[in-house]
Amino acid sequence: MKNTIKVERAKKDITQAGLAEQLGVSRQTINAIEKGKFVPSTALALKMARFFECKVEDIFLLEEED
Amino acid sequence: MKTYFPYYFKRIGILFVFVAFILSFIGNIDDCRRGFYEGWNDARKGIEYEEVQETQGDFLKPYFTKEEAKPWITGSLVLSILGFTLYLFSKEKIEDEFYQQIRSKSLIQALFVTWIFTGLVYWLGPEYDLDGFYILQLHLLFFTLVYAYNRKWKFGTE
Repeated sequence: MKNTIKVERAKKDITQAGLAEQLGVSRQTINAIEKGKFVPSTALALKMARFFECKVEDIFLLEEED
Repeated sequence: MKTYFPYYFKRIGILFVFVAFILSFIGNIDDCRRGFYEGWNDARKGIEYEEVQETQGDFLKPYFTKEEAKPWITGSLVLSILGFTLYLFSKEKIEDEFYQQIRSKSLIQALFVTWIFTGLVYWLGPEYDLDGFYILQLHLLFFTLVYAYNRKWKFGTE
């Protein structure tokens, strides 16, 4: 699964640590999600979407192998 | 996999494992000295003091009898299991679903490693007394290593 978190972060000009603080998770978690090593739960994905003011599917994109 | 202990229990766990290591060293000091001076193979056979005395004199006189060493070794085993458990099942500084998932994965991976390792020991070295609490201790040790690897390198930033 691909994601556009890095782009969305850049738009909002917020660091991984800042985003982590806003969402109540660790910076390592944001880093792992950005790198595609960890797929977040629906709740966390919805929180992200709400923070970035977009839809979940704008941030997380299915790939062919998913 | 959710955890039940607060973050500072990790430090208590590390302290317990450290004390357990010291107790284990004290309890096994005679085997350690014998192994150092006589070589690994002879020490493994569990040669008794009388036999040692014949060849080495009083130089390798044991500090403890087996009965005297047992409380140290048992104490070490119990403390290490308690310490590893506290360390592994305590929350991270910022506990979230990422760490819960890594912990869960690591526990399963460590179980497989323990099965394989224990199987190999039974197969290749049946003279080793690896059973009961020692297998549990081994599992917790592998769990610690696999969890650290997953957290820092496989899924982490290092």
